[in-house]
Amino acid sequence: MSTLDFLSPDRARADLGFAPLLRSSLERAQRERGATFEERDGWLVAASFPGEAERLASVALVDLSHLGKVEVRGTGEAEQSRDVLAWYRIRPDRSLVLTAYRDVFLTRSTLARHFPLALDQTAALGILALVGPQAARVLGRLTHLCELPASGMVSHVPAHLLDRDANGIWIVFPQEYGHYLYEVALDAAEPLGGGPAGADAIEVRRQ
Amino acid sequence: MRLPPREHELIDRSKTVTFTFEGEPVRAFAGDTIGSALFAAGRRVFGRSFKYHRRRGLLCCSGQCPNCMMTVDGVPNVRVCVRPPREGTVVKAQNVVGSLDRDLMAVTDRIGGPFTPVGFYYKTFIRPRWAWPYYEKFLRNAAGLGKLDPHVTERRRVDHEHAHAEVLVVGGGQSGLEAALAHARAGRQVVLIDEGPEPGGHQLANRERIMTMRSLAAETAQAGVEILPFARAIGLYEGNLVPVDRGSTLVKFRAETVVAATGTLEQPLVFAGNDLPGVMLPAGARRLANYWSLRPGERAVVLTVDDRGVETARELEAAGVEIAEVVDYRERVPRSVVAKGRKQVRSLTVDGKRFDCDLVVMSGSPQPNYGLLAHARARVEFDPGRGIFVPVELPPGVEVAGEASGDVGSPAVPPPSHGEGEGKSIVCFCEDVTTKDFKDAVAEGFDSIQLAKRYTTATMGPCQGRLCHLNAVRVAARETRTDEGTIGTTTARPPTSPVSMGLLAGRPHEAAKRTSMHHRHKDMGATVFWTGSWRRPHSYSADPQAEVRAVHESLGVIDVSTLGKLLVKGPDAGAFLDRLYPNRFSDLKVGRIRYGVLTNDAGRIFDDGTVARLADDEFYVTTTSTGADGVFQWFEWWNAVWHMDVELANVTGAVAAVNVTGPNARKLMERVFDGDVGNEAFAYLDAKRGHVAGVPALILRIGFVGELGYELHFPSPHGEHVWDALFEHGAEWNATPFGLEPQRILRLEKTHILVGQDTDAESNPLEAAMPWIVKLDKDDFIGKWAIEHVQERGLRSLLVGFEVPSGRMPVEGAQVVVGGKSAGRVTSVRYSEQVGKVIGMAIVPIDLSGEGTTFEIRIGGELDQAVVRTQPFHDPEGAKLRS
Repeated sequence: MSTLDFLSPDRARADLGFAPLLRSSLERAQRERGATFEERDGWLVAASFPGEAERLASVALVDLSHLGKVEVRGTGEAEQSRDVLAWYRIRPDRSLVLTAYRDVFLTRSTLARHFPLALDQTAALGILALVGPQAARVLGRLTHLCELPASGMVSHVPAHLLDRDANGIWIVFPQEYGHYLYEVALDAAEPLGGGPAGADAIEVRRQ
Repeated sequence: MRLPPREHELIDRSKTVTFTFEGEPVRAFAGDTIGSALFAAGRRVFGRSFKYHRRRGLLCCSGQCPNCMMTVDGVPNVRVCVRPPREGTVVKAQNVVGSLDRDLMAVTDRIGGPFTPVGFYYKTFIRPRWAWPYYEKFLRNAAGLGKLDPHVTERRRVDHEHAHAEVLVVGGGQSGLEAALAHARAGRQVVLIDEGPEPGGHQLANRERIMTMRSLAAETAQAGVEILPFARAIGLYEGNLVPVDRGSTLVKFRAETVVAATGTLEQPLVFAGNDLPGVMLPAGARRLANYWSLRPGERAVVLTVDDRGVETARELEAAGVEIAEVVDYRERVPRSVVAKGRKQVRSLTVDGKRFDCDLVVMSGSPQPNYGLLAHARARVEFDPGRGIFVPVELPPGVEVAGEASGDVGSPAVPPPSHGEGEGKSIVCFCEDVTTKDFKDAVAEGFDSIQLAKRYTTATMGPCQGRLCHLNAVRVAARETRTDEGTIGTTTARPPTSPVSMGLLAGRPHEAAKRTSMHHRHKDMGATVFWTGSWRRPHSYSADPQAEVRAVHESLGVIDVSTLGKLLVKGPDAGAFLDRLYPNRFSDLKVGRIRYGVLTNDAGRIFDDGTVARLADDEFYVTTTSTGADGVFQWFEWWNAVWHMDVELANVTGAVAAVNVTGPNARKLMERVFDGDVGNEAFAYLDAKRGHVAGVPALILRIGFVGELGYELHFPSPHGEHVWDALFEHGAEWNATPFGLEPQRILRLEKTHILVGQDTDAESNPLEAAMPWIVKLDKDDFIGKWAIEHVQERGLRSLLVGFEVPSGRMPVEGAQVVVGGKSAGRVTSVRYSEQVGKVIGMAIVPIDLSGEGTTFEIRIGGELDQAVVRTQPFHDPEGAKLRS
């Protein structure tokens, strides 16, 4: 066992008589809004919501917290693995790497060979995608940041913002603010005809 | 009465809405404002003035002046000249005792003069001193604007939005449209904002120009300019931030270039009776006639310094108004002008020649509207040839277009006022400031415009100087026998016009952190409260002592995920921590834990926590819940200073933490942990890794609450899973959740300190009774010099435990009293069932800190005795922790 395994949810074991299940910090708020959940790779994922198709015509809020996230320290050249969904350079010596959850161990291990520190931040960060034609307007109700990618305050929460084209604008935030941020984003989106949508509403692709 | 349908009128006579004014129904056409509909219904008095309760009528019809402010649907101070009515809108007069037409407070206009001179609140109503509260209540009721209803239950939704533009054009008049069009054709992304329902500016009130303006607006929109109606810029801040009031949304624009195309502000002329209903500015009269097809009066006199008045006279004539006289100041400047009338203007006497009239149009100087430019620190100068202030130097990224730049032709310069002594000549319409007030203010020594402004309150009302700043400067210049250029301007500050506090506040959201077990706590009945930015359980029942008992007797579980958690990794990690903390960590063995406090340069305690060594080059540091971000920044700052080979990571949110504690804690751990939890294999202050309920975890054997305890640290998303598993497998021992209040009792029984509660900005480790934690034999650490100084000068106070034999409970913060003087304070206090006493901690003078010494505490105004206890109240040897 690595000394830092306690940071990595994917090191959980189901062979000890327990069935560890991972929950996003948005899970309860999504449940209150009628989400249908499915278990995927150990995560309880909000797969769909009633009426989400209509919201996609305006702006849909999709919880992608179940993606893998690795923070990389150092200035080494990034090895662009095909498993990497996004590589966001926060500053010259610090990057955030997003992967599918099932790939996070491999990605982290690979990165650890090239960088002084490759830290699993899957548990630390949540991801909320704003998808649809009104996504930028909702973002404008949450933050002054507009040129993406960017890092800064989103509704008083420190966050990273990534532009994922068809997959919307991704807000990457400290998970402890998840419930709050989701409520605030919904509050901003609902007057515009927006609302929650499940993870199946968008196809997360590599960029 | 309406005029027959007119070409280009803004009203749609086929659609009507009905609203009420003072309970009476009023019919309006679509396109009307509340003001125009009331005018059509025959109303001429729209408001009462701030101080003297003088009648006020429509003046500008453009939302600039204070004359038509009413309470609309419970919202006070709404300018009804620009507010469209909706079906059922409830409109009421404000600042009146009685009615608009019969306001009892108007008596102040006739007999109040001796009692209400300029600055009267500094002179009168101040003696006897005890009566001031009564005076104040009376004055506040007598003067002022509308009143907010504190019982209103309806909340209006307001939003904030951030928006960006390469070019933001403020003002949709001709120059604004042309500037927007030019920028758009140059390939830039342009947004144009305008206060009105459509762009066109004052030209929309010019029947000959309406179609030209609409055509220009259409061309501008086609060029890709985004045109926002009903959008009012309220300031221009650093970085070209322009907040825009759009009614229910405050849009915060940031633009590379801001173009101020804000036009001019028509200025009143100053003469006796210039505020009577029926005395109007040119645009006001033209809007009534051309927007809403209303005849502003039957017979008019026009006073004008430029072509605006002449054009207005033509427009009024076309609307059927008889023009009695046009006094063009370019031809002759009258010395004396007096308007008279009781309920509204009935005559105007110019240099002794009387004209019967019910409408006076006064077209004073066309003052460039440079307010936004002044916010951006543009330089403004007085142009004596035209009698106006003009912007002369603009900051980078700010442009000005059209009349706002001073492109207003060559108007005549009117005198500061036209004669004296025949009634009040109003300079500031908002605050009822007269020429006499300025004369008196200058005579009393308030001879700079900044002082005179504050003393008279001129320019400080709702119009923010739009209609009075220029006249105030002119009058002040005359009274000080100097010139306007020397007098200068007052400082322009945002907002340019009133904006509601609700719109500035935005949505009522408060950023809250929640642990990954938060909803489980709620499910279990926890009372949740704020601790810093976290929402945490206070307790799970009305009896926190029951939770304390559960911990002492069997098994308690508390969510401590809020603790700050930092990783310190690298070859220099141990040495790095040695420099930060007063105690030593480089000799800490792998798998062991040590407590530490952090001190600043002054040797003062600012945080505490544990440090566990995970590997030779890897430490796991916990901090207080509220101190996590500050400590991390402190670490990063010193790492940058020292250039040590250390990587730092704040993993507070990544890791959830639960403390399992009580005599049966080990039994539960045996069920859920995949390692050996025996006392030899897993001793007190050991750190072990393994799986808890199948989840990877770091387990720290520590005990803040004084019983055998294990602190489980694991990935946050597994929070509910682990929490559920602990209670499922702990049911046999009646596992009980406990909140912060029971935790505070438990830790007090052990006299474990809470940084910030039992320490303050003066506390150092020696006087906080932790000399064992300070290693002065180290080469250096932050605060060493200061702590050495404390040691050399000797301790003056000490943090001690105490009990109160009488059983009375002091408040936290209660004074420790020696010889009748305050000599310390109670930092924490609770009743402990376990101890059977009121126990606490206090900072006391050093000579009162010995075991068994008594000292006095002020409790409820009386002194009571307390006894010092230097050992923990519960398990003083720590046997339970080590069991």
